[in-house]
Formats: sequence, structure tokens, C-alpha cells
Amino acid sequence: MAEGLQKRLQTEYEKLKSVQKDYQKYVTTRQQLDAQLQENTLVKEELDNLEDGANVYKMMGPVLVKQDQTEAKSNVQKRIEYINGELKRHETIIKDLETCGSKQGKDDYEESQTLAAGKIQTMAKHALSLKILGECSTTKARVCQLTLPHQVVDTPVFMPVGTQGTLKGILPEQLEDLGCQIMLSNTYHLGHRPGPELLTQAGGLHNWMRWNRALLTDSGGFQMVSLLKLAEITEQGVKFESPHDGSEMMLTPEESMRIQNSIGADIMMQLDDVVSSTTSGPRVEEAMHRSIRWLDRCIKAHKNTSKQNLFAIVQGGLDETLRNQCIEEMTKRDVPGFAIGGLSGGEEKQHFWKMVNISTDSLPKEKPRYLMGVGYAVDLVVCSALGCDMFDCVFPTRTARFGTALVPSGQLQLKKEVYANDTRPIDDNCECLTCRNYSRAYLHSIVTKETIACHLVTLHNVAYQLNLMKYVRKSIMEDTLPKFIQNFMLEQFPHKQYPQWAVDALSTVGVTLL
Amino acid sequence: MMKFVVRSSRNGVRSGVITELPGRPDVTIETPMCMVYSRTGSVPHLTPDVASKIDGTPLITHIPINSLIGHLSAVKQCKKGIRDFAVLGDTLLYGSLQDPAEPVFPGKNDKHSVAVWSKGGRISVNPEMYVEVQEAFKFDWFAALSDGDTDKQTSRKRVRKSVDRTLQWLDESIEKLQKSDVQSSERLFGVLEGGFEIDQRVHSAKETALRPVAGFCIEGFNTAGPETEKVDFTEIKSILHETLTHLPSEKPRIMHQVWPPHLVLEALEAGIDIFDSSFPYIVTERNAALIFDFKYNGTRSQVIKPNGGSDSESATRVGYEIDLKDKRFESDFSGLLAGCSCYTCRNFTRSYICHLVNTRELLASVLLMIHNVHHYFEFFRHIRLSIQEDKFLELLKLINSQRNVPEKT
Repeated sequence: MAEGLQKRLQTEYEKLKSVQKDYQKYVTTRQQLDAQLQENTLVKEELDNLEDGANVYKMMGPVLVKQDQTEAKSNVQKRIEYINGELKRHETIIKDLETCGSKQGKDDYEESQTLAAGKIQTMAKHALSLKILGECSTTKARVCQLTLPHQVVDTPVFMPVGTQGTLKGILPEQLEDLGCQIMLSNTYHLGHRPGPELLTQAGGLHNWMRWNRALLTDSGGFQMVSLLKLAEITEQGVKFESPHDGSEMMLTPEESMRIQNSIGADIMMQLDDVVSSTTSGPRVEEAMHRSIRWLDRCIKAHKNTSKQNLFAIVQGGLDETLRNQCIEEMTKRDVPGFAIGGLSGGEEKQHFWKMVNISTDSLPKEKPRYLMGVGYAVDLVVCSALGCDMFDCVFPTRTARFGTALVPSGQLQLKKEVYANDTRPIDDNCECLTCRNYSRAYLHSIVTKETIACHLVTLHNVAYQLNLMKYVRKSIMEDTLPKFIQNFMLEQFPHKQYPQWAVDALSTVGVTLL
Repeated sequence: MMKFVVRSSRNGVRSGVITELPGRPDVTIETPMCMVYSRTGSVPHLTPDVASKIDGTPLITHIPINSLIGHLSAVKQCKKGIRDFAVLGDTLLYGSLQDPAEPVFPGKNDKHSVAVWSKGGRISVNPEMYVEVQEAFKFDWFAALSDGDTDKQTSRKRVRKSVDRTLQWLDESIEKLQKSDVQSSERLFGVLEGGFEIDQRVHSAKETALRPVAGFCIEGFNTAGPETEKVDFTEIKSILHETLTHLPSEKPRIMHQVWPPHLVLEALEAGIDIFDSSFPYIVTERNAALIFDFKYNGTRSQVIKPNGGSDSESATRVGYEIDLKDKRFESDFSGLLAGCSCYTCRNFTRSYICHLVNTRELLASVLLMIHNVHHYFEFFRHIRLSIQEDKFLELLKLINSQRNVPEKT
């Protein structure tokens, strides 16, 4: 009996999976068609503005080829008609698929979901889907495929930070070449300059900065902690005094959503009430409750649910009860993903890892978990083992600009005289542009002097972070993560002077260091 | 060994060709040409993968040694010298003493050495050290050690000293180089000095021409640095006219300073062949984009930009550049320059670059540098074209029409 049900469920489940896959495919195509339509409409407007007899050129590869004006106009018109037709066709298919999905029978569907829990989850009503590809049999680590409107992202993933809509001197194309699938930008900065109106005019940040892959924006809330002297937090929101021109700026959950909608990132973060992780007492509890209320306001104000995902941020300071309470409340809301917030603010690491650990215990498995502000190599490896999927940190790119390169054994300060005649690359095993070409000696001669030193070391450090995560994913898939962690930690701490917090954190997930 | 032939010379403007490059027999380089200006062997702001996005990059790289001389021991370890150390591929490498885009502080040279500056401070270079530099760096061409610390105000006595020292160092260098590596001595460019003293200039030219040098470098009209773009060239031009007649025609003439478009053309008329791209670097450093028109027989036409905007400027442009700090570009979604095919213009808007400039992001310099260097190299391509088509005067007229006119707002 149970076996029969199991089999039936398996078949239904496979069917459902294939429908969901098709659905996802058509939704993506429709999004692409939308973009094409918009582009062509713009071109048409431009062509209509031309005077008779003006020359029109078409870009074919690197060359401009002259075109007849009437021909160009009719071509664009034809293209628009075709795209409109395609759009209609796709809409119909998508509608059909939606009804087909619900026809599956609600009971079967729910049963199969319970059975499949931990294997696959798709959330058609959100603009993302998360597929668990592999799980570590020892730790809580997992490898997922996170499908976002602009990019399929392999997790655990490190997201480099491009605060003002640019990653510190690196071209979007260079980042793509490094295999970067998702990067972060800051709402607070972009909201101030260039501002949401201009971003809307520019067609969103992707288009403006020419980044075709996934983007994540924070809420602007983190800057509250770093700029606290200038901020006043009330139930309504956060009042800032702009450090740029002294003007007053009110960041409410609604305003944060408005700015983030204008940016158009694949993932946006709720505005949360951040208190410094070293604070304790009733303020922490107040902030936790307020963050839940603000989450509701964010959900309500979010205008672009079909293309942007709003993540909730778990607060609660270093208090286990508050954290759990927060998670319990927030998971009642239908959000596509969760972030673990309010950490990495100078708290003791022993507190830090415990908060991460209890969060991943309670957060739903089928949704992505983003640990905010974490990016040191050891932290990335330990917190991947604790079950986090996404990370971000300014450290690798910031330290690069001061001439510090990340290597498996730690860091190299390239300014130091010992590298003046060192003909080796930063890392023999690294395949980034910098390591393929330049010696430590050359980098030593330019660090802190020429901007290309910043670019070269930034490229390497981003490559290092991305590679580290690649190895983490690979070893989870091969189910050799504990071994990987042992070797990694030994390389970082050759005299086995492991930090106690890492030893403790890893032992709770069954990893003993060498 | 490289060969230089002057193919034509009209109104003083020479058109030539460099052939038989070491290791590159397939390549010829046409003059007038612009060397790639580099700092520490790299194009400023551009990593090599980004620099390679610039089409038609000239095959000679100018490497001022001031910023590298402190790393002599590291360069020595490299088999192919600076080519390996700074990963320079197979372009022809021309080394010089001072960076044309960096100010040189006067009064620090003496009869034994020349002062050069790097971010690490001042270094005094004497002939022994300079020979050691060439032995380590292995340039294809390099300018001899010279005392160019003279300008319009310099006394006759000081000018004479500069000429004599430079000649004496040239002889010492040739002798030392011939002892260590004969080939090296054939790569040396003699440096002409003489300030604004015509008899000293002629003396310097005649004497240098007697030495076995590969070419000539002309300096000593002003000290190096960004300010050289503002020099009054009238007197310099007439001195050059007079001086260069004393040089053999079949050797190339280099002059490095910051060259805005009209000065390039003036120097061409005076008989200079080779320049460098420190001008677009200086323009980038002030957050500006070159927009001057060099299409002397082209009709300007509207071009659809990748982002949907179109050229908002009228057919007649004024001024060489636009300032991207200017807030009026905040919502300008056209490229830096309509019709430009550079990587920056194909992908990014004035609006985005204006944002990068105003938020002091490093990418601003990267994108501006790509465009400015591309535009400047294209300018040189059009110079060569105008000579071929016998339309140099039309180009000159077009450039002068855009010169010194305040930018329209």
C-alpha cells in the first residue's frame, strides 16, 4: 500500500516537476520578450524622431552599416509585431500550465511536496526557484541551484559588493569571466545618487551598469548602524542626515521598496531595524518586533513581485529565544527567502556561530538562506557547513585596494619588501588573469601607486572567493565536505592554532579538525 | 635592425614607415604615430584584458623609467627584461627617462646625474646606472641620459651646460654599451637640448647627428608634466624648423610631452614623427572625455546609440572635451560621443559615467581612459589618412576651429 502510494506520488511528482520546468522556461522567455519589445519600441521612437534623409546605421559586430531609413523603420515595425505575437502565444501557454499545475489534485500535490521536502521546491509565484542538488551527509551544508530572473546561481555563493553600481574598477564583463553569477549593490548609496527617478529612467540598474546577471540590493538599513550618529529611528522609519550634503532623508519600509523597485535587483531586502550586535536589553527585542512589522509593510509596498524577490531578515540580536520567535513569525509570511541579519558587527564569534546555527535549524529548507556581511574564508567555510547558502562582504575587494591578496594560507601584503624580487604569481594554483600573468614582484612595484594594482588584486581576490565556494560546492556534491574542511583549516592554521569558535561550530555539525 | 624610411614630406609634414622590427618581420609601423603611453609598463587604469579592447593599438609602447627604476633588481631577474616583468607582449618598447605626464622639479640635476621622481621619491641617475638600466630592461629603443631641465627662462650658461652634459653622457653611454652589448648601443636615441638658444640647438643637433644613434628625441623647451599641454608653440616651432634641418632625414624623431590635437599638428609641420598618448591620460585624470572631431571630409550623421538615445550635439562641436563631472550629463543616456565605436561608447552612457565620476568610483577612469585613448589613436589614424589623401590642411583647419573655444552649455 505504502509502496503503491510512493510509486504514484513519484510519477505525479515527476510530472509536476516537468510542468514546473516548462513553466519556468516559458516565464523566462516571456521576460526576454518583454525586454526585447521595450528595446524595439525605443528604437522605433528614435527612428520616428529622425528627419527625412537622415542617415541610419546598424551595428553589425564592430562596424556600422548604413541602412535605408524607410527599410529600417519597417524592419523595426515588423519586429515589434512579431514580438507581440510571441508574447501572446507565451501568455496562453503560461496560463495553460498554471491551470495544469493546479489540476494535479491538491492532495497529491501536498503529499508529494511533503515527500519531496528537501529534494526540490519550486515557488512559481515568486520570481525564484530553489533546487537542492546535493546535501552533505555529515554537516548541514547543501548545494542548490537558485534560479533568479537574470541568472541561475549555484550556492553556496559568495556575492562581491559593488556599492554604487560598480565593482571597484572592474568591468561587468570581467566579473562574468571570473564566473561571478550574482553581485550586491547598496540601496542607501544608490537611493542618494543617482536616485530612484533616474534609475527608473535608465531602465533599472542592470541596464545602466551593463550587468546581465543577478543583482541583490540591501535595504539601506545596515547603514543605520554605521551612520547611527546621523540617524533617528522611529516606528515610521529612519531619518538620516545625508553625509554628502546634509539634507534630510527619511528611509521608510515603503521608501526602501520604492528605491529597490527602481533598481530592479533580482533579490531585495526588507528594511529591518538593525541594532549593533553588541547591544543587549529591550532595544534588541523592540528591533526584532519592529523588523517583523516592517516586513509586512515591505511586502505590501513591493510593486514588482513578478521580477523581484523580497527577502525577510531575521533579527533578534544574540538572544536565542528572540531569534526563534522572529523566525517563527517571519516564516508565517510567504517570502521567497530569508537572511540572517544583525550579525558580523563585532560580536564575539562564539555568539555569532550559535545564532547562525539556530537560524539554519529553524528556517525552511526549501528557501534560500543568506548570511549577511560574512566573507572571511574561514567564516564562509564554517557557515556553509552550518547550512547557509549566500554570503556577501566588502572585505575581499576593499583589502585588495590596499594591496592585500587572499591565498589558501591566508593573506599576502604585497607592499612588503619580501615580495620585491618574488617571481612567483600570488597563487600558483589560481587561474585568474592576475596569476596567469603577473609576478608578486611586479605587483609589489605598483601596489598603492597605480590603480591597475587595485584592479589586478581585486580580480584575484574575487576569483579566490568564487573558487573557494566552487570547492565547497564540489566537495558537498561528492560528499567529502568534512575532509575538505579539515584540509582547508589546516592550510589556514598550519600550527593547528584553530580558533575555538570554529572548532566548536564545526563539531556541532560533526566535523572534527585534524 | 629596424629601418625607418621617409616616404613623403610635404609642407614639412613627414610620412614614414618603420620596418624590420626585431622578431616581428611581418609588421610595419607607419608614421606619424602615437606610442602607447604607459606607467610602470601598463596603460594607466587598464588591466591588459581591458587594454586589449582598444582597437588599433599602436605597436610601440612608451615606458618612462622613473616609476620602475627603483625595481631594477626585480627586472634584472627577468630574461626579457621589462617585457617579462610588466608582461608587455611583443610590441616595440621605447624607454625614456622622464614621464611626460608627471611634473619634474627643476634644479636637481648636476654634472654627474639627472634627477627622476617616482612615488617613492627622487632618484639620481648617472651614466653607469643608466647603462645598467638598459642592460636589465632591454628596451628596443631608448632615449639617452639627458639633462633637459631648461625652459624659456633658463640662462644661456645653464643651457650650454645642458647641451654639453647631454653630449658627454651620450658618448660615455655609447662606449659603455658597446663594451657590454653592441646591439644595445644601436638602440639608443640621441637627445637634443638647447633650450631656446638657437645656436645651442644647432650645435646639439649637429653633434648628436654625428653619433651612431637610432633616432632623435627632442626636449629641453620646458620641463615635463601636465602643464606642457598649454605651451606656446610658436617659438618652439620655428626653433624646431631650424634645428631639424641638421638631422639626417632617415632617422625617426620623437618628442614626448602632453600633446593636445593642435600641438600635434604643429609639431608635425616642424618635422616630428613620433608622439605618445599622455594627452588622453591627462584628460582622463580631469574626468573629461575627448569629443573633438577629426573627420576632415566626413559628413556627420546621426547614429542610433545602443541605449536608445541619439546624438544630441549639433554637427559643429566646440572644444576638445566634455567634463563628466557636469551635472547636466546625469540623465544623458547617450554614449560619450555619437558615432564612436570604442568599448565604452558601445556599452555605457554619459549618465552612468557621470555617476561614477561624481561618486569617485575607479571605473570612471577605466571607461574614460578606454574612450580617450581610442579617440586619440583614431585621431592619429586620420592624420595619416589626411597625409595620404593630401588633406592635411583641411584637418588642420578642422582642429583649429575647435580649439580654445569655450564649451557650449
